[in-house]
Amino acid sequence: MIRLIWTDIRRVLLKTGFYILPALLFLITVTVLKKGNRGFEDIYTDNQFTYRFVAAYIAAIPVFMAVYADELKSGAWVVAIGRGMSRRKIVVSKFLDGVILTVFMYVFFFALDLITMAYYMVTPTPLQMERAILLNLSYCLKNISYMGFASIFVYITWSASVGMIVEVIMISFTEMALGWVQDQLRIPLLDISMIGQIDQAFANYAAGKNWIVPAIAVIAYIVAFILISMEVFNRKELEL
Amino acid sequence: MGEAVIELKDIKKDYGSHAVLKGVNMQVNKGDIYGLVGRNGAGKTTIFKMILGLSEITEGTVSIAGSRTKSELYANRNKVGFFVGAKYFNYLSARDNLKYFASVKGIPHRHAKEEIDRVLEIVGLQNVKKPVKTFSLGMGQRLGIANALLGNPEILILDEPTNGLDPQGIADVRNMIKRFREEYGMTVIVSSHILGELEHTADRFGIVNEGIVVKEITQDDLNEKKSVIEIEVDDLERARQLLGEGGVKITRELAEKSTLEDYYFRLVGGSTE
Repeated sequence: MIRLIWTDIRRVLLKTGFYILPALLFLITVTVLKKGNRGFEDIYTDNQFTYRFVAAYIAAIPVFMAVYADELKSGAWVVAIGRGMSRRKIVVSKFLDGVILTVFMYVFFFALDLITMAYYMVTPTPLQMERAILLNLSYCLKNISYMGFASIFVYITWSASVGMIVEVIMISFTEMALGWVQDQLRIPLLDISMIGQIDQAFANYAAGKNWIVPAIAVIAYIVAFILISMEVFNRKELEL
Repeated sequence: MGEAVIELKDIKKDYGSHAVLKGVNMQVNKGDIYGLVGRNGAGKTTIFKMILGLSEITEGTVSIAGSRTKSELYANRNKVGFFVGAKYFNYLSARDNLKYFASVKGIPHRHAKEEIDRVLEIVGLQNVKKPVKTFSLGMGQRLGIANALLGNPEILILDEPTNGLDPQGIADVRNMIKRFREEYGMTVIVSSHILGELEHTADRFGIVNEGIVVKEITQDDLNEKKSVIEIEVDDLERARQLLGEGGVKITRELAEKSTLEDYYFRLVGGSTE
């Protein structure tokens, strides 16, 4: 499986289209979003906005297209299954492809932050640096969770576009929608959701409280998404 | 009967209340070029999907290379190469596409280059440098066949490999199929809805109709001799009358004509050989 993942990553990294959106983000970042920043807090506040409303899409779309759309189009899964590879292995390896590529994207985003700070000659304290890293990590994890959920729809519909639309909708509305329901109906939907647990884990870590329990809940959500994907894929009729 | 490398026993496949395969029994022997013929929708592709594990079998058993258990069946699937059509990553070169699929198929990295050179040479793409996205349909089909050949499989499954090809492309694929057995000792199963296409390529045939293999025949069955006399007449009506009066039953009248393929090759050059 490791070899399959490595082969996939190598294939994706050879794709020029994979770099277009991150390059666009780089341009937007240096010319618009962080223009006029002066101190760490300004950069940090801007980053919250960037990660939530811009970077999330820029990471999600190329990763999803590279991992799922290209594979479906090329018949790669059919070849792997026809050669005796188990469907479970394929689901896990595609998810891990997505994790690696998403982490790759967020490392790039963090590099952009460091470039911005260097540009404005901001030297963060160790504590500020930790906050910046945690912010990046939490959004990276949210994107991975969205991808895990959205991939179920790829296996159901056999269409990467449907999965990608689900992911984009989740990025755009999950927090807002769950927050609204929580406020209106007084049901802690957001708190117990995957997103709520990610926020809880990072908040607890920063406050020196127990972050293990919410982290386990996040892992449980992701494992559940993978198991559902496997179950759906196992029943899927594939075309030659 | 030779050594069976693919055996299907009473395979049934239902989609809800719709039965697509209604009890397929089929045997492909080592070294066969087995033609699966039938019209579109007869069930040929579904039979392949059952063999390759792409679709769940409702009832019945598939055996590959003598497999007796499910785990043996899974393991033996790596002895099968198959053609999935002209599908590839179009932003990669032919070589990079094959490098990817070689890895998917578990071909060790140190052998991959040599193996890719070998299959590209077989399909005649060894000197093609242009990007895959600029390939013609015929080149795409060749790349698909090269992919199927990776890993030197013992059994090769080709589902309608000539779909969309021009006459020269069809003739090339036919000749390749013959080479696969003669030079590489492969067993080939190839499907087509164009009956004449496989007539001179395959030596055994499974005739599929409405979800069952109606009959398995060999070239010998096709070559079965019948006594035929040829007469030359000026008045066809009179000849019919005389034969009738003499108690001779006319079962068929043939009008001799060239096939379109013969005509095409005479006109534009090239050959089916």
